Amino acid sequence: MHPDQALVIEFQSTTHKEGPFTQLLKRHQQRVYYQIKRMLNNHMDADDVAQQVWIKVWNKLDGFKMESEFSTWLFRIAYNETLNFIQKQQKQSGLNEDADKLSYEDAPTGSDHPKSSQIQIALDRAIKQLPEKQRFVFMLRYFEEMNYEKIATITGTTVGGAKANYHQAIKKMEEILKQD
Amino acid sequence: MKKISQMMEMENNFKENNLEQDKALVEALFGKETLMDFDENQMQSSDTFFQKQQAAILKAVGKPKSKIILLSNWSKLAVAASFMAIVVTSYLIIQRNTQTESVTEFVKIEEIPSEEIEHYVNNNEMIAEIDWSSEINEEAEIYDDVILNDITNKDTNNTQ
Repeated sequence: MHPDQALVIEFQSTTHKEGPFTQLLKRHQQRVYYQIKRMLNNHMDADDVAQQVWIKVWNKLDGFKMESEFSTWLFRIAYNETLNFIQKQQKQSGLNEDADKLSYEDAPTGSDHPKSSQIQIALDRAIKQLPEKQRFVFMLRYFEEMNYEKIATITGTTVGGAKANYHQAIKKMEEILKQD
Repeated sequence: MKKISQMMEMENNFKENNLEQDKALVEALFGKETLMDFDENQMQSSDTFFQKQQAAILKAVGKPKSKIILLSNWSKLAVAASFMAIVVTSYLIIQRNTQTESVTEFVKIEEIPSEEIEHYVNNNEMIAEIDWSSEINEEAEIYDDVILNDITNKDTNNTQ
């Protein structure tokens, strides 16, 4: 049995839920935070969203039927929370025309960034111009090295849809790079 | 058995190749190092940050959920009525206290200077006159009655 599965069963069958929950948190905390941070490119926001994700996990884990892996379910929550956060930000600032760019406004694009070079600036620009879903799929595939089945479940699409999202993201980044 | 394991291995290789191919597409654009640097920039968080985050999450989930109770119309009325009752009661109590504070001071008539009494009488002359005249009239009537009674008594004695 997968360790996550055992911990979920323990969580669901005991009243002392903090033990198994802490174990799950320790196992996945960093991956969840980094994925959210890649999306938002802001430490404070990523911290807030990650905390919301884990609070949601605590509240919903009793009803988790283990039809998918725990990590898939967890990343789906993270995906929804991140998208909700971005949408709220967009509503608050009223900059709907820059919807895709908003969460990357403070991305390090200047030459003062310690590791910035022309190509890095181009990458930052390209990523920030991707639509949220394509950006999330790209991050999961490239940095988390997830398979398309898992990505499809997380983003609520088909395997073909997830593949298309990844390739569209690369095509778009290529176009942006050519423009520069 | 060998065939199955070979097929599984091939499938895994195919999947890995797919991943490698997908990664190669983007690496061809920006370079592997650039992508690695991008990810390193995102991962500049210390272990203490994760410990703090963990503590914050456990603290948040440990709190009992605060329930929002939606009041029905009757409950709203009851709340409003009790609020009004509190306001009215406190108003009455305050009023009562202010009344008790303004207690009338009683002074003995011997302590009042005669000048003040005269001044009062002069100012209320009309009242005093009316009172005196009515008392005089009453006394006169009583006096008349007594005299008349005496006369009638004398008359009856004389006739006898």
